[in-house]
Amino acid sequence: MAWQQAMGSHAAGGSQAPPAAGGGETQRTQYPYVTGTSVIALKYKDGVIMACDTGASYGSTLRYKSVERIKAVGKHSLIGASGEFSDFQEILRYLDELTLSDHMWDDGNSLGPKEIHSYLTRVMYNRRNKFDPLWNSLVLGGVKKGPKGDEKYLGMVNMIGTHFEENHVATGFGNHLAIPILRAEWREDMTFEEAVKLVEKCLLVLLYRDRSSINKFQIAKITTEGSTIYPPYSLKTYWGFSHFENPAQGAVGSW
Amino acid sequence: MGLAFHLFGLCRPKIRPILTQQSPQSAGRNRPSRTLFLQHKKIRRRTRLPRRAGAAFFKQSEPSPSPTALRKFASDFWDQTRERSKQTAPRAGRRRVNLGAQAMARFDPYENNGGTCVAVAGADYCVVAADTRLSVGYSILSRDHSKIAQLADKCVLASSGFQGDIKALQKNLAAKELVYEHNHNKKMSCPAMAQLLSNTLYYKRFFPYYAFNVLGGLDSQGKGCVFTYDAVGSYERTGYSAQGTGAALMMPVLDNQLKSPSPLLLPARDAVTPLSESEAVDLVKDVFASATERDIYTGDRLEIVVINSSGTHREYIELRKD
Repeated sequence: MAWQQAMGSHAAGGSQAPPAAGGGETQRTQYPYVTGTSVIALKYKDGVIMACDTGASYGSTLRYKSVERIKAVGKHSLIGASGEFSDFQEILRYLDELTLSDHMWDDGNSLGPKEIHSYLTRVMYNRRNKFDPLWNSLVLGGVKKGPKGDEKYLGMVNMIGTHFEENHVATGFGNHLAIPILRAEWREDMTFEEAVKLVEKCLLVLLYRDRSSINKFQIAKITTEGSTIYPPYSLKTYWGFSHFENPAQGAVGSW
Repeated sequence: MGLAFHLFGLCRPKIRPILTQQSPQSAGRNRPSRTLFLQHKKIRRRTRLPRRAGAAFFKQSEPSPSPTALRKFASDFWDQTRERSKQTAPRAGRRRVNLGAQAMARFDPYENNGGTCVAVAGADYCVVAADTRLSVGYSILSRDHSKIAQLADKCVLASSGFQGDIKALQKNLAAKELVYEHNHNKKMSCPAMAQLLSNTLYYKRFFPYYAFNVLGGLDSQGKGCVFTYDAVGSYERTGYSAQGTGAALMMPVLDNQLKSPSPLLLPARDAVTPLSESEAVDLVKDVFASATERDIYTGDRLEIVVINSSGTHREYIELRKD
């Protein structure tokens, strides 16, 4: 079949039976190809901080090592994505269109993080209703001046449209490994420096335990002054822990 | 005469005519030789060609296929069979797809985000309550996510199930209520909303909203009412109800404490509970605290909405967070 030739049957592991999609029929995403791993984000004193690594994997192959998975949306928001990278790029095109048409009203109003998040949830839910999902978990953070002063916003939405707001969120592996750390150590009034320290702690745990994460991270922040996406950098690792050097030690069987 | 001979004698005439028979189609054809027949048999066996495969092939070959042609046919047959099995759609349900070494789950449009909803109706009030935990599998996504929507001034909906569907359903109903308000210059009554909810759920009968709803409020006489639903819209007016992951733990307790009259009684007896408003609120708090002990999807915080003649008010109590 045409799509098999285009994709190369080896890409999906060969033996996988493809969906019944011949010429002229619509095709839907059945599973992701190039994926990014966890994104973590939290609110701090002045706004929202978001972080992730810059890798994108093709199955278990680390295919791209320097991709940006955090982007600014409009004036007040940041979006971070894990999951299928091409779907994320498609979402960025939707958001460009949205913010451009919003800008063209030229009425002094602009879409805040709440509105962008609401838009994203509808897009994700709609695509799942068409059985053609955008294979991502998205994190949306932002700050906007509201009637009650600066309003911080942090929300998440997944590929089937489950969405919620929280003080700290993490996608994928981060939900298992970073959330417990964030729950223990997060405070509403953290300074940016404290927030960076906490985020780096989470990233390091993920680097050690999530095999698809890489040691090239990006941190981004959004405050009332606007968004800043910092250039990628590495964390100092220590692999000399006795359990890293001899992981089988103490793991004695009962027979 | 031995048995073997007997069988042979009986069988042989039956086999031979088949080989030599002149059917109208094969009339004029050369009779296949015994050696060729045995060769074909051997090839069929070695290539594991099914017994009935190639009937058409045998018919069209004149006079009878050569062993080489038969071998080619068998190999083509298996190639086609393999190709066909690849093209058929994978079975529905959660099948694992192998992407490199990473096993990925196939797309599933639903997930259960858990949670429990309860409503209790009294003579002049209605209590609607739900916990605020949002979970998936063994993970908690949020400890403070409301499942309750105020749809009209005397009508409150609590839903558990798939959060995406719940939000879509609640927004849809809120929008329809607004249109009703503009058309009729009044808020929708709770029994009217109950019918609308049923229709809305049934409209998506074949791709349902994965939402388990309890609707509570006051009817046109100001009496408390509770409507309880399944995911595809069948509903019933009751005096109290529980829906969601903890419903099986709460419902028997509510049955025990509230003793609703049998719906079979004639004349129909009022389903509202005999409790006072504060007693009902306390009962709701107790059943949630109890269900939280055993249901991992229920917990964190309890949101209670009380609807009475003076309007609605909300209160929260903390539940176990483990």
